[in-house]
Amino acid sequence: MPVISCILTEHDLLLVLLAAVMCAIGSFATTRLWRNAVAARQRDRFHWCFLTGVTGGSSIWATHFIAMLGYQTPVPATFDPKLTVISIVIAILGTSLGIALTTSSNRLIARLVGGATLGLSIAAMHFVGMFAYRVDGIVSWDQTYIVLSIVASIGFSVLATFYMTGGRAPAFLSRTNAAVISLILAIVLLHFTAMDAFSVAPIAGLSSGADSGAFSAMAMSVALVALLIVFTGFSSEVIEFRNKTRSEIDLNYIATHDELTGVPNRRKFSEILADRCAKTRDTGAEFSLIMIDLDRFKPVNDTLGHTTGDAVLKRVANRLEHVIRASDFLARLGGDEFAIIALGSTGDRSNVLRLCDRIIDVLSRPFIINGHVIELGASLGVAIAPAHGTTADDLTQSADIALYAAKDAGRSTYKLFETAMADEVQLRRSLEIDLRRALNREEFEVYYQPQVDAKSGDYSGAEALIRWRHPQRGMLSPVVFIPLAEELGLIGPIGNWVLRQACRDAVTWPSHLSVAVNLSPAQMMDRRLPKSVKSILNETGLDPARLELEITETSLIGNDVQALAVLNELRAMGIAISLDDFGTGYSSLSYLHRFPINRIKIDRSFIDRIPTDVDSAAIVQAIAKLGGSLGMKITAEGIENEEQWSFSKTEGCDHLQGYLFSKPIPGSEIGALFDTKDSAERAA
Amino acid sequence: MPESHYNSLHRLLYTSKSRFSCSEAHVPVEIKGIVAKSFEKNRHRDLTGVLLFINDTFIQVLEGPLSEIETAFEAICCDMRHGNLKLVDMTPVETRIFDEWSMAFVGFDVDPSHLRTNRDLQEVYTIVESDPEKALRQIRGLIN
Repeated sequence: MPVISCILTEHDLLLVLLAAVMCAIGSFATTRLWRNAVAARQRDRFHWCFLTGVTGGSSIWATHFIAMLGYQTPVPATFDPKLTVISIVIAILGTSLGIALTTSSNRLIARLVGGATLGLSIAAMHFVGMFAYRVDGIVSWDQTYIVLSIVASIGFSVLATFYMTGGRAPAFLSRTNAAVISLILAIVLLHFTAMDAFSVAPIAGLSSGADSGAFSAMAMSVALVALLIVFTGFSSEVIEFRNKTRSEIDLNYIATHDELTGVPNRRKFSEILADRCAKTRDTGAEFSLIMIDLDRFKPVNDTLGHTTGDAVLKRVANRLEHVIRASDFLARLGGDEFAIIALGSTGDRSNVLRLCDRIIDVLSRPFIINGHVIELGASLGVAIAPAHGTTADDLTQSADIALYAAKDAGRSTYKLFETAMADEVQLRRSLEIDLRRALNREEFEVYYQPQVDAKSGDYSGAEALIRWRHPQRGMLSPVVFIPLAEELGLIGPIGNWVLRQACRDAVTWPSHLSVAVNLSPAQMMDRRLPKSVKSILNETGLDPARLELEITETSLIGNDVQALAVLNELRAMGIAISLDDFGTGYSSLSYLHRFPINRIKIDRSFIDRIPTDVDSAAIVQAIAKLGGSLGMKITAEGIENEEQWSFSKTEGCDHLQGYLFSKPIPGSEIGALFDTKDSAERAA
Repeated sequence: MPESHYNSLHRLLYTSKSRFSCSEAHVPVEIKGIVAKSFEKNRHRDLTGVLLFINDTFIQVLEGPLSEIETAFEAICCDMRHGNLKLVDMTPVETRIFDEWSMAFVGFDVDPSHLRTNRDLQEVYTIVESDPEKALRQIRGLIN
């Protein structure tokens, strides 16, 4: 091995060691800078290339120069200043150019041309440096070693470039470290192979040996300066790396936290929940998921504006942070929805339930924002892993189901998930599917409850009531399915069907009898209502004066402009309007005054208690008197005995409805009932 | 919201049940700490007011610029040592009625010399929710 024997026999080992250290540190720093040059955006690239070039060039040159100082010749040697400087310039400019080429987006140019330029720069620097090395002796060069040294330099430079530009490194090395080693090999092999090509024969008569003391001093100075340059380059890389890391941390923070409230967001929540679920599947460790939904938040946003809504959310997050324990994880999932993963609750559910109590308490306290006092509240759903789910999806679903149950239970409360809740949801879902098909399958029926004249007891008409004959569940009351139909947006078609059927049936009744049909609030919201009522009347041929539409106060609240327009249109057609369930809701007198109402129906809850309950009796009296003086007809609902009948009659109710006269009966039977009565009357 | 409104003078009155985690004997010490702390804070915030403690219940009045009242009340709402916290009154006012007190304190005392104070406190406690106006006048009387 000529290279090794060259190092061992012809060099001062201490200086060779210094050169090696220089080479290693320099290559390390250079590749780190080089990595930035390759990754840099266009506008930063020049600076990174330059910085890499200066650092790389300096370390290559210093390695060469220190090694040269350690080269022991049998003859005196000096350095030509001009050529030495030129060799530095070549090292720096050549390396800069090479690095710049390696940043090319064309891989082939980057690796081959860039790598070769680097290798050639190292070689050019070396040979110019050798010309600067003046010895008083006979110099001879071996061409084979020269060629070998250049080939090695180019080869390993290309290899280093290959690793720096994304080439696959050997399994046990990172790309950067593979590049460091390649670069070191390029520099070292070039130097010592080239030195093998170089030989000096002493000229007889001249004093022999280099001035090793002065050379050592020079070597140390050069190494010092070069190291300074290398470390300067390295520092800038460290700063860049730290900045990048910090901005990555910032970016990560932004990506995982809610901008408004500063608490972790849904993304972070999903991550933590999935982690925790995985752990539970492995170890069986218990933890809880609490879903939090604010009550009455939407009105705040609607009436006080989003700025106030946002301020509320910020405070909500802050209050929640105050009540949770250190081991709990709080996140905002969006809107007014928050969640807590209670991690530290292994085996102790009461702790979690206590936490729920605290959350409900703290969120029920008023918020004062810009002088507005805002009263919210929160509903909570709790699911515990692994009992209520071991995957993020299952557990979330369980907690959501519990949350709905809490909302159903009147809000400002929490519910722990129970299997029965899931059944209820299941029932609802299947009911939903059935309800969507019920109309086409003709599963609805209209029943009628007759109404009588209070004085004579003669039939005056009937109220149409919908029933659903469910193929499996039997006859279902509207209380069960009407709210669901409203939610699903099916109330329009169902309402129209009932109206059409009722009109069709009523046409067959004696002509003095009217039919009353209920309108849901959702139907009142539909601008097309008067039009569809009109077309149904035309289609069935029922006299509009025989139709009465029943509305509730709920239809009027918060919707009064449109309600007024719709009611006026219906009135104009000659249809009567009656106000149902009067006395239970707001019972607002201004509604009676402002809306075109023909009839008030006193709620059955008051009729139930007359005449014994003094308060109910007083209310019935007052409503009857009020309606009478406003020119409205009064109907008492739920008449079940003779006393209620006579009391209502005496107090001025015009019409009565209740089991005393008849329960609701199918449409097929009511015609016969009316006929009997009529024929009975005629017979009498 | 105009700036002037945000800085305009308001008065807030709330009640809450004390929910100290410490032992009963230690409660007066704890309350003393709270009063001292709120005294310091209020002085810097241009807030004045009074704190009463009767039947385990805090009755507190805060007066000052709206923004400061909001901040102080929010901090109280975050404090779980209060239980069953009720905002009784919150109105804009012309003048302060406790302007010389950063935070005056009157509490129930078993000492016989406090018999009258205790009786008055008891009365404030009884009427504070139904008639806050009258309660405020009584509180003012208590301080003198």
